[in-house]
Amino acid sequence: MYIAILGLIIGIVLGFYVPITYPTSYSLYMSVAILAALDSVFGGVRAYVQEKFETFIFITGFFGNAILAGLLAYIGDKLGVPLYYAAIFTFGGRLFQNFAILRRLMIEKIREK
Amino acid sequence: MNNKSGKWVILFFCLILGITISLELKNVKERYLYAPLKEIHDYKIVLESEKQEIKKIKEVIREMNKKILAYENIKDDDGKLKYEMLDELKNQKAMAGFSELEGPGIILTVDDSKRDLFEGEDPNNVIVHDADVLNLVNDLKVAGSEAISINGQRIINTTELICAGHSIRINNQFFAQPFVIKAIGEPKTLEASLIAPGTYGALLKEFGLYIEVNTSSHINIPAYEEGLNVKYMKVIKEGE
Repeated sequence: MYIAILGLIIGIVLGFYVPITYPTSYSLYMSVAILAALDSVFGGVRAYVQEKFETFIFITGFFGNAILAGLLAYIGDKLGVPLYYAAIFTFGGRLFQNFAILRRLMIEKIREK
Repeated sequence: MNNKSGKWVILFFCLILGITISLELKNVKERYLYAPLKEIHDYKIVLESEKQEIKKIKEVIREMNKKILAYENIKDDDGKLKYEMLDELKNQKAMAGFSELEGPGIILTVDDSKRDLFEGEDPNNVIVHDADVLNLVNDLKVAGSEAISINGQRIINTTELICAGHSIRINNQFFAQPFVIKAIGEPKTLEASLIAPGTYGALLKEFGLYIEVNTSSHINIPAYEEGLNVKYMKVIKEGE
């Protein structure tokens, strides 16, 4: 849990100094992909706390979800249907679910002590 | 599973995620609008046409520069310069409407309808209005006519077309039906712009107005003969 937050903070600080840019027109796809990746990280942390963490599943989930979400947003744009809502609802919902489980696990751990 | 390496994997991917988030933050710092690809495509087309326009304008500039160069070359020779100037004057006069013109084009005759009114029908339906003539003239301009006259009155930039009772005022003179509109241009195109289905002329014909279009290879269009009352406009010095 702490390591994830630490990684995020370092990453954000690093990102501001990285001289990489991409066209603004891809911004929407990127933000949906970030949401999917965020969900993957939450899931990973949860699995880690549950001691069920598997590296391969985590990595494939991280990239797979992000790419799928971005692709969905792109296809939706092409078809004129805002398909990225699907990604937002799915990953947003799962994000909260993962967080709820994580919270319970943490509270249980603290109580055990 | 292996708790030790799992920690580092999570750290690593959190790093990646953090970097992408801040990249996105950097990108979205400005006002972000949801722009569909279609809109982007439209903008691209607009941009393309603007570029084309710039290209054309540059070409005009180049041509004008060439002209200036030509003038400078013949500056020394007095007789030549005069000849050139007269030529230019002739062109300008023709464009402004102060010289008689001739060329291929069409003759359009518009008159009130001869049909009987339906019971209770508004007589306005079968009368030629100023707006009708104005629309027809505009259609002719769209179709690429180079010079237009109505009942012998040349249409220039200040020409008005306004209802005056049962007649129409054109160039401060009053004209009654029928209106004979002459236009110089590609005869087939001009004709099509008046009688093709869906055009204003075809609509008027459907209403029962008398509309006749004749193409001709020799149309005479008179010069503008009224005086010009110039009070407010001043010429700004060009160039430099």
